[in-house]
Amino acid sequence: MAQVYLDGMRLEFEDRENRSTIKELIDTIEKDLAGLRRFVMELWIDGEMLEEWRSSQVLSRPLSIYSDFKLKTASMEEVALEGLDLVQEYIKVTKENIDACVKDLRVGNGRADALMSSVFDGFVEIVKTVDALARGGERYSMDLFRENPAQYFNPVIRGLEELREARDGRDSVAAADILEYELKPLLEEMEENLFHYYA
Amino acid sequence: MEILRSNLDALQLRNRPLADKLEAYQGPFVTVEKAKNGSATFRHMGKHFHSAYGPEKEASCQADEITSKKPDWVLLFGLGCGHLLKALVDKGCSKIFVYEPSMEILSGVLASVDLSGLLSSRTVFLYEDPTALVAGIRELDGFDTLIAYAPAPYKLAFAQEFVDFNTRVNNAHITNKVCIKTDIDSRENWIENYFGNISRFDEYPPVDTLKGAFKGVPMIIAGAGPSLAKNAHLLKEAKGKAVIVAAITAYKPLLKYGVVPDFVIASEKVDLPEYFTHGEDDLKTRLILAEVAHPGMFERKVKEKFVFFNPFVSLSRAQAHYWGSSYLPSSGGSVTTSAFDMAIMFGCDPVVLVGQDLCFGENGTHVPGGVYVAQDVKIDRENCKVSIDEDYVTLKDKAHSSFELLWLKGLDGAPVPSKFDWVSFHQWFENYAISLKNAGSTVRVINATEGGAYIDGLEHTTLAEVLEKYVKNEVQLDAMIAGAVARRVLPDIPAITASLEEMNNSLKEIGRLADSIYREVSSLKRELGREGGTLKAGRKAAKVKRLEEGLFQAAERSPFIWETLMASIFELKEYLREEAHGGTKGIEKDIEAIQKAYGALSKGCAKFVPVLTAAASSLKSRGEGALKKAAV
Repeated sequence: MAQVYLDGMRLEFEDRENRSTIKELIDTIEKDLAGLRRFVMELWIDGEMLEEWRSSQVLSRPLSIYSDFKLKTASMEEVALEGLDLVQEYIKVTKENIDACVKDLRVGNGRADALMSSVFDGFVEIVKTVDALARGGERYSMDLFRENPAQYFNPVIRGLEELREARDGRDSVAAADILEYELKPLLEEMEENLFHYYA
Repeated sequence: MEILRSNLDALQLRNRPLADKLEAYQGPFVTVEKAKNGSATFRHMGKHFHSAYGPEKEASCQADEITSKKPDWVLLFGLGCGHLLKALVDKGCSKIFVYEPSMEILSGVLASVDLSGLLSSRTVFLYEDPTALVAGIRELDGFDTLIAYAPAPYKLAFAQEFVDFNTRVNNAHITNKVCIKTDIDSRENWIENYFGNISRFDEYPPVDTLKGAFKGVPMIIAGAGPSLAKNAHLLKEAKGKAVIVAAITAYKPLLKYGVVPDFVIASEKVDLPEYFTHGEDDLKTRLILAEVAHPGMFERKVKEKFVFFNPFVSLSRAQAHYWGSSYLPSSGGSVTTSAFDMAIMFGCDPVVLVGQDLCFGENGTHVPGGVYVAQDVKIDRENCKVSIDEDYVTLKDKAHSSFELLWLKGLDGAPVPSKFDWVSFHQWFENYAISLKNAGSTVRVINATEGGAYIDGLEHTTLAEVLEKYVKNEVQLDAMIAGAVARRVLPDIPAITASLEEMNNSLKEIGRLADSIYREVSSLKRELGREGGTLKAGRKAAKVKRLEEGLFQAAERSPFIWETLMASIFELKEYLREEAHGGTKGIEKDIEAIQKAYGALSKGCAKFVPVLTAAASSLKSRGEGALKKAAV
């Protein structure tokens, strides 16, 4: 039977007919933690920390094939701070990608397409994370942003849509202009106006 | 209007035909608009060709990329509003060719953006005609590095023109490089051959003895391209009605079709007896030989021989007029190109090419029947290489050669595989056709080659049509030639002898000075290694400089000596180029390079002094003999 530890304390968890999954274990623990405004942040299985443990591939595994689970938790505030750091990191990297992509588009290097995909992915992650943080902040009454981040979502989506059209039309001049003079200033504005502190 | 005037005035000085074309241009033009920062931009086919926000910043980024590669020359595909051109010049990259594929853009931009300052620059060249661009590139030093750059909107909007631009630029630059190799490989042989042939030049009339002799007579010039097999049989009909000139490689193949050409033209630096039959047919034809052809070629027994002097040989430039020749044919590097120019000099009309494929055929490089018995040509498109295995008449084993694969536009518009020398000839034909047109010539120049490359500026048709239209009347060729030869300008042997003696004296002087420089440079090297030797070394360097001045002065009287030293001159040039590009190797290496160059010069002089002495004395005795004969 698998041993389960939460922040170093051993827990009793009933693995019914040896058919319980990791997901069931996490759900049960997070349900109990919700009142305490804490979340599971790390999962160690048989002495190894799993990076992508919230993926369905990991969560669907049965408990019974492992012997040892260690879970580490963090407070809502710690989670929020980590999320804010992550958004700022995404913004920084996306800006760098924009600069590189603009240069490649202007010069005509073949890497521009790959960089543009990274820029699209970067914006998606920024919007998703900011949105999740904003909702979490509202739910747990935390003032995470200096102003409402939703006001940036529509301009970002419009800019990305224009960028997609320029890319599909193989209009590299327009694509570089959109990136340099529309999308990058939006990121700079977000960076300047949204955060109480800088990572 | 003022802006356009100012631009056109600047362009008039640098590219007059383009300025005139723009002046007369009545077609559509792009509208230049303002970017967000007030700079110029425009749209073509709905797309901006420059940033709508900050074109200068965009151009600066592109210029940084280009200048980081440190090219000697930049070739821009597309002028646009001139932002990139300006950015390059601002960043110190001033040697630029600009090719603008669209008159619509060029006329719109030059009417709205003042580029007169840039267009006045002596190192900025603007073209709209690709052939003129190629001619410009051919003027460059083959050592120079070139970078071609096209902004993305141009590449997309003018995709076909861009491919054509790239092909032409690549072909022209490779040709420049190959010319260096030819110089290195051939110059010394040519000079040796010139002196080897010198006793024959008074025997055989210069080819311009026939100047104007064939006025209005059609001339058919046969190359040995694979397509010659398609129409060579028709040449029999032209015999006696046109002047038929065969490149030496086409001579034997034509015989197989029953055609003995009136002339065979050759300039090979090596002896090629295998190109001849050594029988009756040889005695029915005449040879036109380059002065630098191998002396063995002058030994061939043919009906008659003529000599031509080449403009790229300094000895010929200096002495051709003493030999009675005032004509140095324009040449694209092949005997067919020289023959083409001769045809114009002879007064022929039309001038018709056959067998001038300038590309690889399906089964080989040449028409069957010549010296290549069997050929296996493999074209590797992926790696841009061509390899040839062939049986040559005089070789036991197969000969192997490989070349970089180049492309030309074919007769049907599709690309045809080619190689550097053919590409070079092709460029020459196109440029020549333009020169003829610009000179107002009414001579019809026709490419009746039934396969291979398309030559811009020439009329393209079949040989059958040419024969039907133009080759109708009998011509008395033998009589025409005999009449012209009777009026030949005789050589001035005493003047040639004096010229050779003067060259020889300067050669001795050059050799002496080169030896002195070599010695001074060697001791300078030693002084540099010693403590306190810098002052002495400085004095020696000044002496070397004085000696060099004397040497260059002496060399002006004997310039051919430089041609014999092509390999070491190019080696030194390459060394100096590397230094100029920041690869300083230290003073010792510099001194070694100088020693090597002057050592080679000294050896060259020592080799040619006895050659000139012998040539001068043999001519002198011939001259005296002639005088005695005349007195008797």
